[in-house]
Amino acid sequence: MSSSTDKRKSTTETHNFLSGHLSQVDVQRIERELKDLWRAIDDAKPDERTSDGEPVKVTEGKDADLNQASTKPANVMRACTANIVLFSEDADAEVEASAILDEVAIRHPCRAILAISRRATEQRLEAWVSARCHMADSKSLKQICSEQITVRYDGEGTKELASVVSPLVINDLPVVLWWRANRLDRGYLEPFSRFVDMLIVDSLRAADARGFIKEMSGITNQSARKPLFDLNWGRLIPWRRAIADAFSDAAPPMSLPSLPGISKVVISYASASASADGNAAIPVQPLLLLSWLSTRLGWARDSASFSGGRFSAEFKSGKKSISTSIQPFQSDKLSEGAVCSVVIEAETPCDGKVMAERMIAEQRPGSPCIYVLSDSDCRKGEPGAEVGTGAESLIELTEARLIDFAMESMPDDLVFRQTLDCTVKLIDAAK
Amino acid sequence: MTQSAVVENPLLEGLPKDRAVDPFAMVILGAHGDLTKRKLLPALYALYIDGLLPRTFAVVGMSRTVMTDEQFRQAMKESIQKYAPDLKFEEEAWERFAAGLYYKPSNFTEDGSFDELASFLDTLKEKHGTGGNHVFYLSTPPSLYEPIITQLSNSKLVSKKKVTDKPWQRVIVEKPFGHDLASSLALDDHIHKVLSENQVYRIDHYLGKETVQNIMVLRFANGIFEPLWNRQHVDHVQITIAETLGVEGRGPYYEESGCLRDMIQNHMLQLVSLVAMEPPISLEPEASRDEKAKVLKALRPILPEDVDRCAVRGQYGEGYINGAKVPGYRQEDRVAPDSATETYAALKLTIDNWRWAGVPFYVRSGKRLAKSLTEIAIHFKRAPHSLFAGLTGLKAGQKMDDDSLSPNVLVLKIQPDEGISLKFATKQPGATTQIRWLNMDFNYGTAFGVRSPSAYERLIHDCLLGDASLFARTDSVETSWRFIQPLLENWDLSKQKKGPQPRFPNYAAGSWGPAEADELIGSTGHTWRRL
Repeated sequence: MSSSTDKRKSTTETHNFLSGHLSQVDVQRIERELKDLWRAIDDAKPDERTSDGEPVKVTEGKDADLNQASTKPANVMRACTANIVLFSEDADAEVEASAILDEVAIRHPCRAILAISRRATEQRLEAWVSARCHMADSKSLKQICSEQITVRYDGEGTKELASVVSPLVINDLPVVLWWRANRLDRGYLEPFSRFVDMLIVDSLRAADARGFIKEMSGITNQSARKPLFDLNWGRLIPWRRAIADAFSDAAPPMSLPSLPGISKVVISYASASASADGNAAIPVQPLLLLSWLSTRLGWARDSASFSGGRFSAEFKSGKKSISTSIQPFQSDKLSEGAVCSVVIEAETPCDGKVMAERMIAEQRPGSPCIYVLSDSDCRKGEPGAEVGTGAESLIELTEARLIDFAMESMPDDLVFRQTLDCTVKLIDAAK
Repeated sequence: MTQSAVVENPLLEGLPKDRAVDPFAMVILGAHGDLTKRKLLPALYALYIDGLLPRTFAVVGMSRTVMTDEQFRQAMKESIQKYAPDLKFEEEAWERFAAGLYYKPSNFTEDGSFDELASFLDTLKEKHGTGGNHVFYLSTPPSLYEPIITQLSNSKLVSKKKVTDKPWQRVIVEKPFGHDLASSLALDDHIHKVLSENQVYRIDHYLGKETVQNIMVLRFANGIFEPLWNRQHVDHVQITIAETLGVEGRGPYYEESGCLRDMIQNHMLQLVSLVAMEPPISLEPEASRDEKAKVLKALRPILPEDVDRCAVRGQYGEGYINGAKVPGYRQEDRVAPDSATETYAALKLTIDNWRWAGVPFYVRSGKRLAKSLTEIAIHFKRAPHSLFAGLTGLKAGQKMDDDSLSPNVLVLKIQPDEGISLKFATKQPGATTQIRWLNMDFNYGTAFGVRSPSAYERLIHDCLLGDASLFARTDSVETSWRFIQPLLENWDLSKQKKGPQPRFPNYAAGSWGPAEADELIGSTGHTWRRL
């Protein structure tokens, strides 16, 4: 346990803190311990004084020396533009999350609060503090540092944990709750949702896809809803972009007039085996993609079924039928459940005739890009002629990059809400 | 499907609104120069590794120097490694980027010299899928602007286009945009014979700096500043662009130019217009350019008889910079020993509009000053009642005309450390009621912890997107030349030995400029900020 307040922090303690080592502290005194650590660091470098818990630096000096004071060299700067509360039920969450937060904190210096909940019959609360630092630039050798507080709770429920976390968030800065758990439960979430501004979840992690999607839909349909960002939905951005671009007039192979002519959609997702067993879970990512297509294009669901990892649905658009399916594709190079190809077939008017067009968007094994190709009887005048277009990059869509995107845009995404509602209906229909 | 439906692709709804750059080919004229090596290629490479360039593009360097494509690529690679150490250089990324780099030796003034370029750009359209979109970057001496634009037109590489026309043709022109009002008008006339205004991007790199762009955000995204941003609350404004550097081997250029042309006419007046402008009606490029132009038009003209009352010029003599002795301007390489060129200028500006009536704007810029620094300082009026006067040693009723009760000052720091600082009073801790003045600092580099893109990155990217917000428009350029023309005429007389000779040098290198500048600002009871 850390030293008492009347004793100055030792150089070793401050060094360990800045190096990212976890220093265990009394749960009742987390904020005080942090203040003492920062004060000790400030005292160690009299050239610079930092503000106390605020996202600004205050330099003090006589009136005439104001600017000299503010330009003195400094080694450690505290910065904070947000609070990130990471909730996990995984005891090893610190290790995994730490690497991601390291990356996120570069663009969003933040107070990171790791709230780890472990089910246990005997209640126990522990806390640690550490700093996360990176070099601002190689010239000044300044370190930009932000704080991490880890609170581990053994017990039932989340009320106790949330009551520890709530007073730790820095006033007036946005609070992002990153729910890094396999299950999503509004009852569990509720103690946190009172003080957070945005919720980040990841349906790719869902242990129970149906339950997870329904909970997401429930959260987004609450009257006092807060922005919810599903990382799995974020991973679909390049796919949505690739398909949308393929149908925009300026970018062949297909064009906007092809959209009403869509007759068939086949989405493949990565699976350990090509033929999933009868107990396979509904793959969320391809289902979100299909729901997105159907809501954007105004398709009405006719029927849906799910069996052995394969999902099929028939839609109507006016009198036209659209046949869709989601099927597993054996791949050990892509994340389980991730979309790996989309095939869209359309019947398009061309020179007074109806011509067949086919668009294939695929992520090739080992490639970080989505490649889009088309078979078009119309464009090239000869059946089977293949038109290739550029590739949409997937390479940047790490978990950190997606969180970065969510924090920058704080999306309250109507398209996502509509897609979720459609997904829930598809799942219910496929029972 | 109707035309309007073509625009509204339902699949695009809700996708992040990336401002995507069309495929393009950029031709850099004067590619062997310092600007290309130090700024342009590093900026293009930074845009490339940040994923801000399209998948298909090409860059063609042109200058008189004979070089192969491979030699050009190697030279640019070395430049990026040397001048952009903050960029993550990866051999693999460079190889992909360099595959689109080409070089064509050329004499820009020879008839037909651009015909070969035209056919080469056709080749690149096929090979690199540039879509026929071309941007021509004039990184050459200004004397070549007119001949190059003529040649571009003769070779059908540019013609007048509407903003929506595709493929597009754009021309980036580096400052100076003329040497005085007449030459500026002549250059613009020449440009407009060949190009529409929407195709012309007059680059003033100051406008690409993060903090300069942040001026508008600070003013118009925060509710607390704009109500104070007027004559009721602002006492005066000081803008400083100070350099420790001398002319650095550019003696002949500087002899012709001087501080007034080099800094005041462009960078300084652009900063003034950003600080003083009214809120634009939208973020459309023309909206903010309209408002900036209005400020320049509202500058009270300096009459010939008022030049000495409103402006001060200076020239540095020898002195010390960072502990080293440096020569005076007249001792610099290829500078006349009796040169009357000003290396320092300070002006008192008056903006005749409702918002700024009676608020002086003091601006100063100079070479070989004590510190390299650019900042805008908004000095607010003092508190109206001297509640704490007794605590500062003043007797009751004594006028608060000294610094013991300083005003609040909001400083927009533009370089070297971009940020914002607010000076305010607070109570000294402890059993005392003494007042202490503090600076609350916000620093871009440390608050966000990421590399700020260079001004050239931002401006080149904007040009590729067709966004001219941060580029100088023809009317602004003309108005700023018109404003300083009386000063130019007055001071040029000295340079031509036709008028009274200034007592140069009148400030030592390493100082903060001539004493006359203190008198200029002192005329209204103010003093320059000690920086």
